[in-house]
Amino acid sequence: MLIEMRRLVKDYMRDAERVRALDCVDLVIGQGEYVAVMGPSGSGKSTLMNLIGCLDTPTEGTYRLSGRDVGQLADDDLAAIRNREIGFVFQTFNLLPRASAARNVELPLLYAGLPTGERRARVQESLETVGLSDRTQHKPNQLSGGQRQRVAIARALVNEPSIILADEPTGNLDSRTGAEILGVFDALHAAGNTLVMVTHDDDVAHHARRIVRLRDGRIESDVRAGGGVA
Amino acid sequence: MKRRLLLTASAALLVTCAGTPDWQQEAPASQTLYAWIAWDSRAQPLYRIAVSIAWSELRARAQENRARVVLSATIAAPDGQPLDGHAWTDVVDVAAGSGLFYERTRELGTQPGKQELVLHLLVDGTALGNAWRRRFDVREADGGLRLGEPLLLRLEGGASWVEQGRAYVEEGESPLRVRSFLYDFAPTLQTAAFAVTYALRDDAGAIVFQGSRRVDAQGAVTPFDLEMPMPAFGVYRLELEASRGTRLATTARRFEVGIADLSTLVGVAGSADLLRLILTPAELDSLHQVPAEQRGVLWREFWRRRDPDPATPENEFDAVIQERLRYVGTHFSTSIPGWRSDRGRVYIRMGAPLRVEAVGQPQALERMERWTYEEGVFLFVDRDRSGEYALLRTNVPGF
Repeated sequence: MLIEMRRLVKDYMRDAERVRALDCVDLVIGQGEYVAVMGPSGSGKSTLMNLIGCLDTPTEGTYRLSGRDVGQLADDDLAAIRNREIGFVFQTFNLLPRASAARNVELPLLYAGLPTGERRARVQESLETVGLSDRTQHKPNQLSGGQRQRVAIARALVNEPSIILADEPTGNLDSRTGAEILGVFDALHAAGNTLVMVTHDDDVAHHARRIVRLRDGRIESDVRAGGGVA
Repeated sequence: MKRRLLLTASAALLVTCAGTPDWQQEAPASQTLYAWIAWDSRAQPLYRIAVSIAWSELRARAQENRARVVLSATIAAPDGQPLDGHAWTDVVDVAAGSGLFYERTRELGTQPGKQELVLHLLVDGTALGNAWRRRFDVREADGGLRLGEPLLLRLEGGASWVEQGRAYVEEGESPLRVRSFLYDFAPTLQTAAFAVTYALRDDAGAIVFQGSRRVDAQGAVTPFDLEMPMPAFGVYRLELEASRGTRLATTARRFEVGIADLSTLVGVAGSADLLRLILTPAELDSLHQVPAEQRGVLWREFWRRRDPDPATPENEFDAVIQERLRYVGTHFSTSIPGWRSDRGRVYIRMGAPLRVEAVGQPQALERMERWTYEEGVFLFVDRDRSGEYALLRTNVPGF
């Protein structure tokens, strides 16, 4: 299993009061799955995403990522796993405005210290994957909203992560451009990538092959495409 | 040989240079008071003195909710003797919130030699700083100043005044009033109509407000005010354009709408988020429960309670918060103002951390900062090196 969460609990202190954001969550996600996480505001989906993305640690329970217990790691160790295993895609694209698409995608590799030749090859491959090989030298302001989000996805892919974690990836896009991005996710899934996506939009969620719904910090339902219970 | 007078100054207020179109430069005497002398004529030997004082400066010295300003000036020879006919006193009453703009044009003493202008300012009987002194030479020279150039438009003021690019809101939800000055060295003492257009843009470049007006300029310096609805806290750019026939002058100024006096915070547009950083949840609830017209009183009571030394006239907590607001504005502003950023919110509430450490992996795109306080630890992450650090987690309650 790629992701294995057992009896996961997350508590926060709010004004000297303990608030339980996640309550005994069991969730297992296998390699190559495409999962949408849904739920109303305050249901715990952001907390769950932070835990999956190794941005936070649980109060109780265990979380194993690629077989490694990451539940109680220190910040530096979590950062190392996050950078190696997880590619983040956000609602806002957060691209450097003065850098070309290729340069934006190259940045993670640049900081990682990869040699130039390998960097260029991986950037090219990543941009090809999202269908932007003809826009490598365009700056963000020369690209459409959908193309900018595709650059952001290429940047998330370039480190070859185990999981793509997308937080409302179509939230800033109109429906047609949103469909374009979901098409990219479909292709990534078909190529064997693991995707976990938070969304509040039912139409978007139904692109995934499995929908996990949260309510009050618990998993309310966990259904695979076609109606099977996960 | 044509005869004209040359004016040179030894002080920093104004330097005039013969024979160049850009013959006037000014520098503020202090951050809050501007005064200058302008060589104001080609045909007549005139000088002009103008003083601008923000209400915030006057208020500290005013006895009531208005200020009486006494300006007395003399032109003296090097031996200190006032020149005949060159001593005068003016009294100006300034209403609360409006500030002072004073301007006076006089004939210059025509006798060559070194002279000194001495200006005394009294606000309700209290001296505003020491005497202002400017020395200059009056001497004969060849040639003459060219007419009709340059046209400068200089933006001086903000809501009440501008200090280092900041516009301050002084009195609740007042309109944003921008004081500007039109400098024109076309024939003096004649009225000239200028068309002024202006646009206020937010930090993303979107126009928040725009307008136009006519300004009847007379003489070298014409002040005029532009009023527009007070925008929410944030960073803005005001663009002005003045034209007269084919002559065109443009200027722009970036400023931040902030708070000069935190005791007036309630009621200011956009202040709700800042209130959340200062008040406890219980105080915030109380504020929301009272009628709108009573909120200012309640807020001032909350504010008074935070004064660490009620025996002094100042609320020292005000200085603390102002300093923090300045710090986060300088260090944490990105596409959003510093005080709205996660690090800014923590800094305003908690002050400077005991320790700041970079954590995570230097070879990763993402950067992290750990701030340590006695009360606990805050971990911030900048996922894409944009400079926008988001609060990842903390063990300090209330965040």
